[in-house]
Amino acid sequence: MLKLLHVEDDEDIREVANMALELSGEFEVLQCASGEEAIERAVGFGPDVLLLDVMMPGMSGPSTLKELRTMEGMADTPAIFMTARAQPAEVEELKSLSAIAVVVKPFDPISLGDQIMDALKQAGKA
Amino acid sequence: MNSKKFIMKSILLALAVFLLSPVVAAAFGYSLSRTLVPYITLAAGVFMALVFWYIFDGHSGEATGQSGRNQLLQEVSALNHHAMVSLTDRDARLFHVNDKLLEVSGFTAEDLLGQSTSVLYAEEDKHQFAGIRAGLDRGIPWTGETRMRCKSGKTIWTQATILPRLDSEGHLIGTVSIRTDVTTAKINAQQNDLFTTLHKLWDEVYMLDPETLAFSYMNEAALARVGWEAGEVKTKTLWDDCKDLDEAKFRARIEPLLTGEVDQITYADDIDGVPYNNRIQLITTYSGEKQLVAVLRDASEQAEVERVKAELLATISHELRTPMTSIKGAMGLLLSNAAGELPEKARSMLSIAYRNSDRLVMIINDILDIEKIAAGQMVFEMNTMPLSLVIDESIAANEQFANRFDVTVEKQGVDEAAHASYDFGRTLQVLTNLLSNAAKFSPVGSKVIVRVEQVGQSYRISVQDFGAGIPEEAQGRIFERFTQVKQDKSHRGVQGTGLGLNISKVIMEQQSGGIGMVSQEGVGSTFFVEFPVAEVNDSLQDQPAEIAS
Repeated sequence: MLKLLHVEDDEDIREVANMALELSGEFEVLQCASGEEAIERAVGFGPDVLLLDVMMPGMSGPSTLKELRTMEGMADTPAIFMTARAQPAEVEELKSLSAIAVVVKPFDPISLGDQIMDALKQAGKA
Repeated sequence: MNSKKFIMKSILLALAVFLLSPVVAAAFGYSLSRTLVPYITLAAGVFMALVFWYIFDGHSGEATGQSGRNQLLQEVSALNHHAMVSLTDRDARLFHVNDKLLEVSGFTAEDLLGQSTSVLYAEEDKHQFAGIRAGLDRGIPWTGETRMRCKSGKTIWTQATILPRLDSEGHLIGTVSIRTDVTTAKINAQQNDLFTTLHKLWDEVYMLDPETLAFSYMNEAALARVGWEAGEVKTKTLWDDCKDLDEAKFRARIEPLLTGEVDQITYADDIDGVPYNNRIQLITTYSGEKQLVAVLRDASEQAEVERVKAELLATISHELRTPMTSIKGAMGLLLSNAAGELPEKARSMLSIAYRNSDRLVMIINDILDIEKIAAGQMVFEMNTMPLSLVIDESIAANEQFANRFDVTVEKQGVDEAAHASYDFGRTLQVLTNLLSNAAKFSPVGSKVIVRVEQVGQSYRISVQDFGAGIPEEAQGRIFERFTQVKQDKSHRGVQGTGLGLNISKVIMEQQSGGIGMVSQEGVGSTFFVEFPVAEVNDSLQDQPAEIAS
């Protein structure tokens, strides 16, 4: 099972994503409500993959990733952003921040696990 | 004059009496002495001389006198110098035109004499001819402004007075026309009106010579930006305003105007860090000169409005998508029995809600796309790659949707070597739109077939369904906005926005491609898109890693 750190400020989305990821049976999930919380708990969890919401109050997804990258063992951890702002330019910008993929909201909960696994395979990380 | 006339009549009367006296004497039986004959002969000579003088000189002298005649001649001469005079016969044919008319019009007397006077009317004023003629027929003179056609084709404005020439019974036997060239005054008046308006426009207006690029006019807004006085304008050229003017580029830009290929050029430019929307036209002034008229509009406010609008739309999009993620996600999980088996009625109701949440997301996406198209912000990243890449991806992305309608998507004859230059994400959007439409309108258990074929210099990707087809009357507007084909009851729950095909059309046009359809009611529809064939050895670019939801 892959350890997945999910950072999302919206409680409802967290719950839907949690159930969706559980459904896939591929992941052990740790969910955090903010970038700050993720930074605090990431090292102890040791994630294999990061799933980060982009727009969050306080630390944004990109800022959180930047901070996580400086932490032990997470320089190369594959990261995937989730965003509702899916303009091509915005997607390109996110991909340039060392992310292997961008999942556009609203996502399909049934195929979310498969999407993440596909992205990991494409990036040679799974 | 009157005393002369009296003396003349008295002498004539006396001579007449003297000459008649022998005749009267003979009548009463008296004979005249022979000595009187020479006197009578002399008196008869003087009488005849005076009668001739009276008839041929003295009589006209009675009417005008020598000085009057000179005055009249001078007046006619002055009139001929000042005005254009023409005479017509009863059929409105010219039989006299003066030198002034020939000089101004450029015609020769041979060109005009015998012709209908309508040859002198400008095309725009020929409708006046019948009305003027009708008045003259009733003996009513006409006065007014009319445009006169010159031999060169040029038109001049004239102030004309046309008098009827009537016979003793009051019948029209011709006309006398007197015209004065008032073109300059007319032009000045029109120019004054125009320039008063131009001068106060908020946009900057410049007029310049297309050859020398020397300015001839600037309005207040233009003067305010360049910081010149109105009196300086005619001493300046475009180089004085644009120090780093790329003359070759500017001349290339205005070339289509000068050749008449286009009637205006519009382009966006940046002047001293301020965005401008510019429009240039070539006009011919009233005096016949060619001039470039450039209208510059400060677009900074418009750019700011566009930026705020785009930001607002992006924010709204985000704010709508976030709750939709939870709604759609939660329903999707329930429908997949993630929270346990649902009663059939609950599943049915939840399916309706799920389909409509899908629709809401589609509406949000379509509205954003339409806004992007309107603002010219739809960006295309064109790469040359196999068409099979985007076809496979679109079929995979639509598999689940097609399954919902128990429709199978089948690929036929897709040549892996068929390459085209296209934006992967946008083309995927178009094919997804065509495939989802095909699935929606297909009978349960049927197939949707995707093909690729070469048609001339293009590759055509077609999506064929075996549904009800599109009524002929709806086919012509199928790619217009908000067009929706009536669906049968079984498809009511998957209604679209009516924007998808219009967006697809714009996307295809922006990629130098095209979109079309053929449909027959009761047989089915085939929608297709076409891309220009690309060389196979063109560089193959990586496909974007975005994952569509």
